[in-house]
Amino acid sequence: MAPVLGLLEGKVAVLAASEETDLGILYASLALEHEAIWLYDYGLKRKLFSPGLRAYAVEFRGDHEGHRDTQVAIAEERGGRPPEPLPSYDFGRLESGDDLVRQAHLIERAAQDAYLALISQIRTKDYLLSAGFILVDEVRHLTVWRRVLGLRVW
Amino acid sequence: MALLPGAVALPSSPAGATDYASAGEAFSAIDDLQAEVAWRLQRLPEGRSRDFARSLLRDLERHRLEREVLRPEMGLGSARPASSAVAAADGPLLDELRAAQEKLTYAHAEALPVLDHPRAVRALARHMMDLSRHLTLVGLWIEAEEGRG
Repeated sequence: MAPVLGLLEGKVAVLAASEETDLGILYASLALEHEAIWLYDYGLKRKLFSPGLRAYAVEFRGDHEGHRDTQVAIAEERGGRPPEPLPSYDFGRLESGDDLVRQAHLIERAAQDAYLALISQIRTKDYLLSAGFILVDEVRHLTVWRRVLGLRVW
Repeated sequence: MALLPGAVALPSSPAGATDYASAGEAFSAIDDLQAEVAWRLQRLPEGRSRDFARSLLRDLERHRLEREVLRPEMGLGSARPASSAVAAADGPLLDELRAAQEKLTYAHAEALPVLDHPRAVRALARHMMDLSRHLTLVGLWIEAEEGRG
């Protein structure tokens, strides 16, 4: 996964078109999906999302689970060993609904930026199609949280 | 409380996605779908919604111009005039706008696999991000209107 991280860090402009690159992108994307699922789960289990935002958190967690499952299936189909989620993630302070929404906004922004950076490097058509639909979801999530936070959206 | 009332959440599994045969076909489809979205945006009433519509229309025009730049690089001919045939607008304005936006957004995702041109993939992915944002905002608007109803 090192070349993919290099691209995300701006150290590399182009990745070699290869099965290995596709798997690296899948693994990097999965890492982000695992983080997002963990964050929404954490907030929902502790009832930290306000009632008006809970439905969004449930929906977005469901989307990320779908993204995860799609990409795990693609990786396994290619003989890859997709990464498992970590037992926990450090997002700093997560004590209030505001904390959750701010972190959710950041993780969705990270996911959006990562998929945009990686999408033109994907070699295979089926994964490219799935990545496109996934990116649509990430933008939707980010847009909602930006509205909630009072940030500019148009 | 659904984010987009009455709509199926945009899928991350592309079952039933349109399978474009070529980049040219995909670009033509996008041109037509964009023309319909623009037509529906121009029908939004005066007031703040018109400012919102103008912002979205500026994005769409920028997308069109960027596709024009990409066409010769990709060996595609000039765009033909977009189809001006729009289905009769007899449903709720916002619902029909959202439906048109959804088709346009999906068309961008469905175009990605046939472009075979990394710069075009990146450009259309950026356009698709704008469109997803537009679609989400109209969905939120519909939700707010229904909340008031």
